Amino acid sequence: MMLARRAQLERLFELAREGGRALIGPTVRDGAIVFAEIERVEQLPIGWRDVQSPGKYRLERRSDDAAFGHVVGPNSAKELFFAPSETLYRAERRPDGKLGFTAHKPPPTAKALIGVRACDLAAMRVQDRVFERSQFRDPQYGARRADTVVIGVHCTEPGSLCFCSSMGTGPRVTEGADLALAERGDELLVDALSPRGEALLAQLEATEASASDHAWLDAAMDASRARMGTAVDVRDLHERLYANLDHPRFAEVASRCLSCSSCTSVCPTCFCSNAVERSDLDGAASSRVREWDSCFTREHSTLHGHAVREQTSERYRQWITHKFGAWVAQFDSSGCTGCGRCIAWCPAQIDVREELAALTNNDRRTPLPSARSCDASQDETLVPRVAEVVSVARESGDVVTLRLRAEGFESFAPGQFSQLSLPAIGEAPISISGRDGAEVEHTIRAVGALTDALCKLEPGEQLGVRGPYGRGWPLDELAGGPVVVVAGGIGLAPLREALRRMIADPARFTDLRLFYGARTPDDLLYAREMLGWVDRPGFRLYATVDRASATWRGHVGVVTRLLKRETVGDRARAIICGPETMMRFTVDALARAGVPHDRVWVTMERHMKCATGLCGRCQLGPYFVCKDGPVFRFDEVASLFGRQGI
Amino acid sequence: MNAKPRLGVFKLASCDGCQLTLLGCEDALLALAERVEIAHFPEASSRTDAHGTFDVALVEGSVSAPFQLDELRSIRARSKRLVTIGACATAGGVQALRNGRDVREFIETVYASPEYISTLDASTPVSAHVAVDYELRGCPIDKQQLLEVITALLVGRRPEIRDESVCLECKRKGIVCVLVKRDEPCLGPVTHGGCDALCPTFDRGCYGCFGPKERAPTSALAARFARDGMVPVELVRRFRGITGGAEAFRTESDRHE
Amino acid sequence: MAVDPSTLDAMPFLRRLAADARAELAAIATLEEHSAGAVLFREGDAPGAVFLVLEGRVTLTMRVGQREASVLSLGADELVGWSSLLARRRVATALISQRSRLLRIEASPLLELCERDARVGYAVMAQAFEDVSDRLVDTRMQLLDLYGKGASR
Repeated sequence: MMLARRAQLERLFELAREGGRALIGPTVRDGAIVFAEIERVEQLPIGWRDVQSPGKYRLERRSDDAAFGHVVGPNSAKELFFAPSETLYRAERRPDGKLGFTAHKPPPTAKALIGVRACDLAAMRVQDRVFERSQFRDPQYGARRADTVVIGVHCTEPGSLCFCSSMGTGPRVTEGADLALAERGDELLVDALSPRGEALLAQLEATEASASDHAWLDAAMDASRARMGTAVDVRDLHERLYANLDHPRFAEVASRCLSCSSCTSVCPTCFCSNAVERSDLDGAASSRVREWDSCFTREHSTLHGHAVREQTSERYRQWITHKFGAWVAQFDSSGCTGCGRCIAWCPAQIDVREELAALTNNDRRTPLPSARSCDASQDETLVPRVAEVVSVARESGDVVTLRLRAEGFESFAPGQFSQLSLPAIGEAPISISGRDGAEVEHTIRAVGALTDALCKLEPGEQLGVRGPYGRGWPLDELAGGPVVVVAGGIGLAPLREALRRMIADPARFTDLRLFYGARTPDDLLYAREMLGWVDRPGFRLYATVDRASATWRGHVGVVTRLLKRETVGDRARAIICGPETMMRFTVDALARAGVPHDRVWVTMERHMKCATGLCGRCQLGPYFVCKDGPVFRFDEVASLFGRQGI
Repeated sequence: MNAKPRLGVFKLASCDGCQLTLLGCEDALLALAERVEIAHFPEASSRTDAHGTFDVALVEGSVSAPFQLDELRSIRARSKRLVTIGACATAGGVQALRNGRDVREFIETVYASPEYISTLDASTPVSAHVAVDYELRGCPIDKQQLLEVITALLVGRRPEIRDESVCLECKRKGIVCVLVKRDEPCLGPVTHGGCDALCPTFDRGCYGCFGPKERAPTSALAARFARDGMVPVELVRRFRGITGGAEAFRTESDRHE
Repeated sequence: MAVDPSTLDAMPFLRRLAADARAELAAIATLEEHSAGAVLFREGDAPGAVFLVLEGRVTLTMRVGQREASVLSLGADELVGWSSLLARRRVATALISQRSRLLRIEASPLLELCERDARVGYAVMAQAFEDVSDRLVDTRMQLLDLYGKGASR
């Protein structure tokens, strides 16, 4: 550690801004200390402190001229790297009808950050883990984040809302910065934490710090911890929260919560986003725009036009159990750094520390799976590739199968899905119903504007495609024993390629039964193809419909009734796809037939939007359905399956 | 080539401000005219044709007088898509403040010849009378949202207009919360966004002209205002503004009366 | 055709009954075989027999305007015509949709036997109750129109 005059900040500003770097640090603006671009030392909040309490924030004059004698303001480094609103790509339909997708890259602006607290450095690490070290890397984030110089500040004067010492992130800057500063009157204690920090420090006028300087800093950090506000008991917090999903406190806090999304917006780690289509007036081109979103909005949990989390209590539960709970299973750390912003900037003055204590006022614990390692990180620009329709098969009144010529499906596994898109209309996840060389099939039901337009495509026309995504059916685990496949409605689509492969491999799949329920005989998908399968030894097909005319000689009734009639056998393994209610009853019927939850796989319906686990919408407890699923072994999701408001 | 879709702009009880927003689209309005036939738009041109059928009808204003009800039903019958524009058409507007009061008394106080005035007892939103395909909020409406609704309808998709709080817009823009930093009574947390946080951008509290968002727990916000010292009569006024006729705001203001 | 009591042994729910009780039941039952297209009873008919399906398929249909709609098909071990146990008119038409073997028991002697021998009564009513309960759950699922627009993936 070195000791310098505070006037060396001038030199540090110069060094940080070298090569045209934008310097971002705390400054007073609009009645708060915000994180914004500054050029001169005088722009630091010299002589200001911020006094904070739940839902209140005030600037006050200090008796001294400390530059870093404040805590954290409403914004953080998050907005620098994860833009509040950004264009992902432009999509256009050229006059000849062909499509083009052009990635929009953020301008490369090198940044230097000064005055970053330990809590916010921890937040940057959390976001780096989400955007850069998950299964998919976000290049937009990466481009903004790369080559950032970070100068941290040890927090000697925590505010009353701070609880970084509880979360284990502060007050001392120990990692994630190039330099760490401590302000002591007109002196600075400076520590280099990286080679780049060493190089910066070497250019300052500084002397080696003495033992008493070291002791002063240690004492200042101890005093800081001691002054910290209410502590949070973090031991097994994630497991204690998941054990209290039905806690009456959720209803109580919902009577005070405005569901306004302020907490998630000011949170330096919250990463949920929404991507929308902004079409040009001429209808030929559009931009795909990604914006900050929040689990407190209705749209965030909307699935097929219905909000999964209609109640504020359910949204609050979603937020707090993710931030302090599921996050641990997903990213190996809490999503909270103890910065206190969600308390200060809550218009309803809710203090999350109090809520956590109230929600876990018992000894219950529910274990969560441990975080998956993600070494196979790949760049994901979210920009579609162009695919061309080869042929269109009309399966029923409102269902068609599009056969597409598209690249990138070499690694496809049955059960995975694609993101199909059309410029100016939008994008949606559609399961892959078959693959044959360079051609992939998607079976689509016309239920909205995009699927309507997809169903109207003709051979030769183009569309956008991303994928394949997700985890497919565990065919290797199914092999060897009897296999039961249960499909409902268009749920047969993601099962078809799995069925084809099992049909084609009678040595490994000797006993294969398909139970298929549809609405009416006309809604039975792939009827011709299925009739071709029935001669295959060891395969049996049971089809049933909900309603039919009297001329229909097949089964009428729900698919579980068929399962009840047949002897499934307790050695069987089952894979199921259909509406959640149908899958719930099917799992029960299988359990009664002796097939336990760990030998049943289901594919989950959730609001998948980005397909990469980054928009946050498809979160289901410890999982993101789009990348950890959509196929799950039932025991993995049994405790959350079919629960209201999860 | 198919004929261009026909667009009509109609007005009931209103100030014409929302129609002015459409006029204010300037260049975009020209681009729009390439894609649609703007058949009826009295604010823009006297050469209009209010007859015939419309692919999209934009309706401004509330139903405040008996003849407006007949006109509205006629518009609905002749329009494929009916979009209400603005606080009057979606929540009854500022004129809905008269609802539940003695309208005769108002008329006699205000007009020299009250016998000429034919009015209904209440000013009501369009959706109280006919089916509405889309409601566009605001006083006045936001230009970008209006263009989004029209382009989305032309493409056949759902407009990307999210029912979320003004807070989210403030935070995306980096506006420092006026309620938190100086207890300014701001309706943003319970108000439908879309204005791009116009008032907070100018360091003012939101007064709710876009009306309540879904899940508008107004009582929790009123409780905050009361903790900051707001008296009941002021609470009544806060929620009884331009969209005071909207259910959530009306009940909240009534609660403090 | 008279019924050999051993036929009843095959019915899972009757297996729990003592042999003498099963014999009592066999005494009032007859075996029938029907080919596809035959009608067991029609919607609105006076109450009559109840049937147990041994094999084959019986489809229940109901009249909707001019159209006959199939609402449920029943197979082996399932009960057809339970409403006669409540002395009600037939609520649906029972159409043989696949060659079937059935056990036919007239409702009035069955009810008498049930009154007389509580063991039989309990077994028959328990089975009817389970069947009706299953059908209620199934009907609810059908009512939810799970595969309809807006309800499925």
